Amino acid sequence: MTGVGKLGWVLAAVCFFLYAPIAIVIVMSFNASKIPFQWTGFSTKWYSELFANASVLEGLRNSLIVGVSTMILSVVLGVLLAIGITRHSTSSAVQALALAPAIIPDLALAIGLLALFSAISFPLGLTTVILSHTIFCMAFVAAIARGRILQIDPALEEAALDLGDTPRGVFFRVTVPSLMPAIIAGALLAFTLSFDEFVITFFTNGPSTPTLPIVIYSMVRFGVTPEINALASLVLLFSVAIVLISQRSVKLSQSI
Amino acid sequence: MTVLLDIHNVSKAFDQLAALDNVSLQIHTNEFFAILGPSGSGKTTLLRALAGFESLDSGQIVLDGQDVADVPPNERPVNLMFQSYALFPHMTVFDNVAYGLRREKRPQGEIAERVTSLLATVGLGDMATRRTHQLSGGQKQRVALARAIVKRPKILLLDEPLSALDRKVREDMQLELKRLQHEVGITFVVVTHDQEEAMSMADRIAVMDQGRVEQVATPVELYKNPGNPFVANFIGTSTLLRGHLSSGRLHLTNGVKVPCSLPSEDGAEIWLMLRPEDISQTPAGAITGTVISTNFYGPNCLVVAECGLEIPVKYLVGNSEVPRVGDATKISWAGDTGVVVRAS
Amino acid sequence: MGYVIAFMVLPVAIIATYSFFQRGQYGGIVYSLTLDNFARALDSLYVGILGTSVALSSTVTLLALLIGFPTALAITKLQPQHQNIALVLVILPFWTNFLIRTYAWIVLLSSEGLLNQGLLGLGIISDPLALLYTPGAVVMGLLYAYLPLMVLPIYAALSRIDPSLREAAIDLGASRFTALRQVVFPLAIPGTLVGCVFVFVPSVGNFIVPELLGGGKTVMVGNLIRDQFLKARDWPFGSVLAIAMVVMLVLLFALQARITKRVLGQG
Repeated sequence: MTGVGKLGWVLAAVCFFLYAPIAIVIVMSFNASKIPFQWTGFSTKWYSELFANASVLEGLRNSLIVGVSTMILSVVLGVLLAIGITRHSTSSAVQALALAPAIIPDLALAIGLLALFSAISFPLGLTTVILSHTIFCMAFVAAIARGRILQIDPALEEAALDLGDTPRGVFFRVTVPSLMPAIIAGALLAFTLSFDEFVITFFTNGPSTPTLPIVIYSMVRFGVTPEINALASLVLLFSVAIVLISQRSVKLSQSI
Repeated sequence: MTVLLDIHNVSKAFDQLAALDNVSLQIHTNEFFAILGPSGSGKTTLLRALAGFESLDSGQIVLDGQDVADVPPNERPVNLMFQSYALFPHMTVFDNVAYGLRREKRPQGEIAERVTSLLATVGLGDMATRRTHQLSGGQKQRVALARAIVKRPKILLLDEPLSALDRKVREDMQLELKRLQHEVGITFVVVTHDQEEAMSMADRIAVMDQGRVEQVATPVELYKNPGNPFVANFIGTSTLLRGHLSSGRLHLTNGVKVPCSLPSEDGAEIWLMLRPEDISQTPAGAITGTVISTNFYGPNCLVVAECGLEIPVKYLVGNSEVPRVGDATKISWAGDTGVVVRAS
Repeated sequence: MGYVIAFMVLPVAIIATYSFFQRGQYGGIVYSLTLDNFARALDSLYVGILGTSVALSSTVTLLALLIGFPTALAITKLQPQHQNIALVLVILPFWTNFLIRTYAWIVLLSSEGLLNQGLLGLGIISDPLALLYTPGAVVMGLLYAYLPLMVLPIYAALSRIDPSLREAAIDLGASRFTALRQVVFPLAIPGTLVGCVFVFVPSVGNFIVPELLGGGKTVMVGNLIRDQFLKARDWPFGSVLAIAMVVMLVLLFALQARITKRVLGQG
């Protein structure tokens, strides 16, 4: 194709635009100097300081708790939701409503949930964060699972039933396994979304249980430090790893 | 012949549109039965009702003396081979075929033995550990077939079993299905829109249209003695001339008279069905016309000619007498050939 | 199903309700009906902030469109296996932490930041430029954050267009560019609109970028709402602002759906 030439440069430029800022942060994280922008030599000392930083470690712990709980809850609810809206509802209004949290602005969802929790006097803390994250992660899981359900031959479930399986058996032996690629992708996506989520956490969390993004936010507000660079690099690497794993597992399981 | 399946006055409507309109059929033990019809004729709905995936508005389905209308699909002694095959993508060939036996909680040894021997029967003995996506279309079909007969159902239902296959594979599979039906001794009920498929495989055929059964007969009977104009038109190629009989001639509605000495009461409206082989092209032919198209088959050629008979006439000529489009032609048929068909 | 809808409808309903009540003296809510909050929202100060938000977000959307469309087009020209890699490359930054991506621009733009250092070092400028804490920095940060959301739907739309449509146009005598303009562009409009909405919506509601890169000098609706809830503790007024934002976005979605329907002749 002849169009690649000029457009190829566009693509290269966009990739540079997207990755250069991130790359700079990672390079700076290995800078020995405490003054942020003067390179004085390679060092990993900011990483070791990071692992001694109690608030960072506590944030990480909270984020992992929230991330894993959100992942489990949103996968179970999201898959059921997807089955519900694709199989048992022909109303497009219901379908749109169920997927709405993925589209409405996070700020609107955040204050809405804050208002809801305060209206029923539910104390803010990790529980409210998990519930809130589940609401919007579930919508993403449902969207992915819905795509997969629409791909699956509806005759598969009928075939299992025809061969003598009970409806319950069909669900666990045929429906769930054929949704597996979507379940894995959805689980990893839910975890990543929850792990990096800031706005909703900011509004629905209590003061005593900061998650990692909250910790990062309070650090960033005080300016650029080599320690943030190190933390940022690790978090970036972690997210990238999860996304790549999910891409891979989806591809693998799709070939089944 | 014993009646295995008695479908009695079955009706089913979707959104007030009748998919099955008072259908009655009897299918015999060990029969190869075909349900033939164009799309929308209700044949798939009938098949799904037999499998238990569609409930009935009225009527009974009696299988081996038992009314199965309220028996859920997983408890019916009937298995369905799906048009899409519906092979479980996350299982091997062996696991697919073993699925039904495992639900019956058969012992491991028996399952292994029955699955292995059946896979050998359908020619897939060395494919047991394959995943279904590694198979060709024909192989997938054999797996689907094995999976559906491994439980030895009283009836095997096949939904358009050959429609996804290439022409060559399809011809092989037609023979294969016949052979297998003899070997396993199961009653087969095939749904198809392809009359050639139905004619070549089935012992008896039910022709369906618009939710109704138009005729049930053997393939030869359907071809030779169609019960109504729809069947005459749908089965095989024919020229259907509409008119009324009077003194040994058929009076068409446009006033033209053609030979027909078949017995029928004078004055009644009938259709005269002429098969292409009933009509001959001859210089002495009394009916003249113009060739509008020719379809060459090899041994012979189907000619379509406009002869002023309200509809074009279709007839066969030998491969040495093929006319060209636009040629003038003369045709004739004997007064006692063809079949008189009445509206049912 | 019921739970799900309850959890989604309730928050909106509560906010909608709050918007009619009065603020208590020490925060909280006094449950007496009033329309004052709506009247206050029409104050020129707040309308101005809304205007700023819309203007900035529109700029971001336009820039994202100008960059995103050629990018998506470039990806569709690659070989199929390379297309997937290119897509992952474009979308990957989006899945990383938003704060960190914003933080990276502080590193780049601050007065002792890399860009200024570089320009100073090259002798192009003699004093550091004020790059950070400007509306430009906010636009840059939002563009950086949401560009992938523009590329993805446009790519999806473009890749779904049957290549033979373009070939048919060329076959019927259109030049390559005419075929692109008359066949490919119209069919890509729905995906492009989705991309625009995906960029515009989170930009309007964003309060992190204006705070970190705008330095509090560029106030957007998001900041205002956040402050009403967490600082001023005037929930009813914050609710009014949030409702205004949501209503605006719903209208936007409706507009997008309408145009899509007109372009494709159906939903």
